[in-house]
Amino acid sequence: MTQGPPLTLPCIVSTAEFDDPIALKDVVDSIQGSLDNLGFIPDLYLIHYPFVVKKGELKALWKIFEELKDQGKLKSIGVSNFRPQDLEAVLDGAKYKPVVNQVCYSVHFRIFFQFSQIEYHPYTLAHLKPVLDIQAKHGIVTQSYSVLAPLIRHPTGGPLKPILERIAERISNSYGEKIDANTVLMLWVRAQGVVVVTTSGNPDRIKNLGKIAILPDLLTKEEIEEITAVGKTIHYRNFVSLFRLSSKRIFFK
Amino acid sequence: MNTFRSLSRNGLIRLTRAPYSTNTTAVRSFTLLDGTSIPWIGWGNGTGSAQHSAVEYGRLALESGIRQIDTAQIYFNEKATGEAIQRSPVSRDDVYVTSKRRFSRR
Repeated sequence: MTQGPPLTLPCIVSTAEFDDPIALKDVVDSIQGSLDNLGFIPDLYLIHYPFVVKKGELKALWKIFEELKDQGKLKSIGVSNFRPQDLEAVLDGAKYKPVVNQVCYSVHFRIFFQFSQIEYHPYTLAHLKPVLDIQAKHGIVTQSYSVLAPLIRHPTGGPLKPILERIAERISNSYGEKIDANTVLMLWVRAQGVVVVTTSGNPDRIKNLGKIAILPDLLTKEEIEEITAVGKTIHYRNFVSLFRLSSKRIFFK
Repeated sequence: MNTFRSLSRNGLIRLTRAPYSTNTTAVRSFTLLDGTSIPWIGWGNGTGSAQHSAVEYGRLALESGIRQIDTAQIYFNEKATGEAIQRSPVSRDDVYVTSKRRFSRR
């Protein structure tokens, strides 16, 4: 229906106020903090979002990531919440391209992330197209948060809900195992070649994730296309509706 | 072997059945630009702001068969994520771990 909000929302102001970027010379020590916390080198290390350094310093930050990778102090390196212009900045003459752009979603940082917020679910497809096009061109994999937002956060689930439930029912009957609409959505994301990062506060749901992880391809080509087509007709992002409810309440949460 | 043990303990190996019998005990992966691979589904350990839930839920997700776990400096649970892996039946080498940094003084 409507295009997403333009990427010039005034919330960049709140981002600027919240962030107090460290000097580039302190970056290496800062990363060491992560490694010390974890107790090992993570398989993948990301720049969390494009405003972590002063304007114009993203490329220099990426160079530090590349050097640390060369030194064996980091393994795979990537980015998160990057917009097309941020990706272009680090890709320009890069020794290593970011292996992923994690499109991340976190309740606590909803407001000051809203400017850069990238979510990957069918209702954000139209909005994400510019950044996804660049990623496809360079082979950068999308790693996604908030995959279940259309079902969990949308007031009614929108036009996708009945479709996902219908597909879930068809699969449950033919596969012989109960498959729910959430699972259908995750399988749709996998079919797009996108990595799902999911979460839950419900131990029973968590215990079920291992079963979802080893599911075969259960969606038909037609079903995958149907979800994509219907998703594209709607633009919906979590933060928009919450922001309208009460920006202050959310902001100080 | 740890992987196999935890899968069978959770009854996951039963999922192997016709006509979907091709290697259903392994979590499928995507190949990244640098030649490494990442499991298609991961556990986001950033939901629980409480350290306890990050250790407990992270461990639970790994025990269920999830092989990717995601953390970040701003979730304040990188330590808890390391601990979740230690307490799980899965060895560090069998888990794909992502972290991210915000680089801010605040």
